[in-house]
Amino acid sequence: MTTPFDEIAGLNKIIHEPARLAILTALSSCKKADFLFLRRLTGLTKGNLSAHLAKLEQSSLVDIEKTFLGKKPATFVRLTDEGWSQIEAHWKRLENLRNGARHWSPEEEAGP
Amino acid sequence: MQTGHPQVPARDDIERLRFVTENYTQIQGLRLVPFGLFFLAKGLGGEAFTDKWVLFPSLLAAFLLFFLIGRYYESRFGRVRRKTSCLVKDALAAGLTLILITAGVQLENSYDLPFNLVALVVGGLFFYIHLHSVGRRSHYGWLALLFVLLGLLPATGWVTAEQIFAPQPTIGDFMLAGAYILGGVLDHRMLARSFPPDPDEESDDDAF
Repeated sequence: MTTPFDEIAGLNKIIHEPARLAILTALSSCKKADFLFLRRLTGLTKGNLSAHLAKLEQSSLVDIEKTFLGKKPATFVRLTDEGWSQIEAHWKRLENLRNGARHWSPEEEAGP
Repeated sequence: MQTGHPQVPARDDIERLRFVTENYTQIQGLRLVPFGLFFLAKGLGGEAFTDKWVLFPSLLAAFLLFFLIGRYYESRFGRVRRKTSCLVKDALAAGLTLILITAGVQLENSYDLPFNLVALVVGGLFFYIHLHSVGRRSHYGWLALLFVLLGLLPATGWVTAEQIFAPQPTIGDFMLAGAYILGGVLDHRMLARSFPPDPDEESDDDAF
């Protein structure tokens, strides 16, 4: 039987960082979003958001698409297939952790 | 970023991220205001709005403003492309509303009904919006109630079902005007409050 602590140990650190989790959660609610929207929604600075997106892109969790809308440059970000499955698995794991922690007792863990 | 725990964004914050992203287009409330002004002008304009040279340019102006205000939201808060499943769901809801309104008008023309079906359908639509807003757009619950009461008004005998939306001037036009303007302004207020303060004051296009 897994304990809440096993679940914690199994969390993906790339995804679990609060800012990156917020970015991935927002992206899982749409097809794609631009840089400005993600920045305004998360309240991150440009530099911070860029750094987090670079890390997520390196981990193949997001795709970054640079394009032009008229004459203005725009950067759209979307989840990759890997990103979709990772964020869904992550939320499932957090939910299990929450439920497990609610019913967990140290006596059970110690055993007879 | 608003977090309630050093490791995980708070539950409310997750709900905010999901709701705003999923419903970003619909909560751009100021885009509804031109349609509210259109219904207000239609209610006040009386017979003038039966002339197609007044009606269609006014409607066109409302659509033009709708798109221009959309550009304002894109430049201030950014762009989101919605999931296909959300687009399909909304298209089905809009299609169903249109069918029910058309059927309502036909029934009202054919029978002497003790209620106004169009107002009841609009009330139903507002209630649907209210139900799908996880408590963030409670004003649509009140608007739904108002339109249901409006739809049942003919049962009191004070007005007939036809008098709600036609002929001019109509209670329905003023009610729709109020609903679009009030609903739009409150949606905009909710959207603006859903975004944390901007840490980068200067305008940005791309830092990435």
